[in-house]
Amino acid sequence: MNDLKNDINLREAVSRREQQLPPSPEGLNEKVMGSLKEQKAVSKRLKLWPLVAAACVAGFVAIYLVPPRTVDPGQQLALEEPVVKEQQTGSIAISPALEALDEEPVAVEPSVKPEKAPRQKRVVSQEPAEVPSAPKALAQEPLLAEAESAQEEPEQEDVYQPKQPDLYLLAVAEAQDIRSRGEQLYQEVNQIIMNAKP
Amino acid sequence: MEKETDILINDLLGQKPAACQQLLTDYGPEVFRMVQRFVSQREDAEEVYQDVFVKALRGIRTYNRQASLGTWLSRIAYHESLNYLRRRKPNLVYMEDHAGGIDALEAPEETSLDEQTVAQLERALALLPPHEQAIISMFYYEDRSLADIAYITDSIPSTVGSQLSRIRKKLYRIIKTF
Repeated sequence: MNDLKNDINLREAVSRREQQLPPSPEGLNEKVMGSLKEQKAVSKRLKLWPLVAAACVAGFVAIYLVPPRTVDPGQQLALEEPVVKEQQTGSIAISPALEALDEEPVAVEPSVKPEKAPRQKRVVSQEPAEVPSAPKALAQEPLLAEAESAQEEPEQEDVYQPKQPDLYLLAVAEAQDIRSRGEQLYQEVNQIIMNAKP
Repeated sequence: MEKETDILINDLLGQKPAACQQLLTDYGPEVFRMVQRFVSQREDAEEVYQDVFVKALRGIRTYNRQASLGTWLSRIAYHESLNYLRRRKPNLVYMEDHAGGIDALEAPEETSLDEQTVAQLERALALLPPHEQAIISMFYYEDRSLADIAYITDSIPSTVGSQLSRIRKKLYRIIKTF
């Protein structure tokens, strides 16, 4: 160890070599400070991105995975009119249809269909073919009358016709639903961002 | 001095720009010197120097005061420079002691300054691999202790002592070939 320390020739050689090294250039520290500031800004941006991206993904998943509300088309039609009115006036009022929803369900009485008259069997006559033309025409008349009465029959009956919901109102309700979810998502994202801030 | 360093470290932990500036002013020359032992090109040395301080400021929380702040920075500079060389300079050949028997050689016990020997040693130093040059410089020029050099090179003091002895013998073997 002493040999090492006492080697003045080597010490001198190292010292001369070190003195030949150029000094640190001026302005280098300023350059380093600048790059440090840049990196800080970039790292801040990088810190926020995953949170925002995660919130967006969560929002989309929530929108697409939550099943839509199932409402009877008849009730929905009744519901949508007050909603549209509410949008126009800006006032909030509970519609009677909504109140009705809160009440207990009432069993719907089945509609009684009138009994159909039994069909009369057509009897084919086995009589000879030679029949005068005038009575033949007369024989066809009751058949025509029967067919006409059969055509008129459904008009008189209470035929079941499913109510077609108004597509425009359905679209309005759907838009309202998406809007409310969007607002909820916006609030969630805001909350996450607020929580992320130091 | 220790108190000042403590304040500086606390300010660095608080990410104060003035503390960063102070760190660069106080320890910049020492770090740049260490980098230049490995990286001779000025632009490359500046790049490595920048990386050293970026790494140091990011990892200031991991500084455990096992060594002084300057030694800790030198350690980062040493490893960063070595990594740079490994990435950029794959095919340089240095004087290595593969021949063996170097430990058996006796280095002369020089007690008086010999100008010719100094000049030859200076030339021989240039032929050493950068990490050996760095160890010799830290010991002879910066007067660092074996413990400090061991901390910087990620080694143990006894190993550094034997390394120094071997490098010195190697230098005298090189100058015999001139």
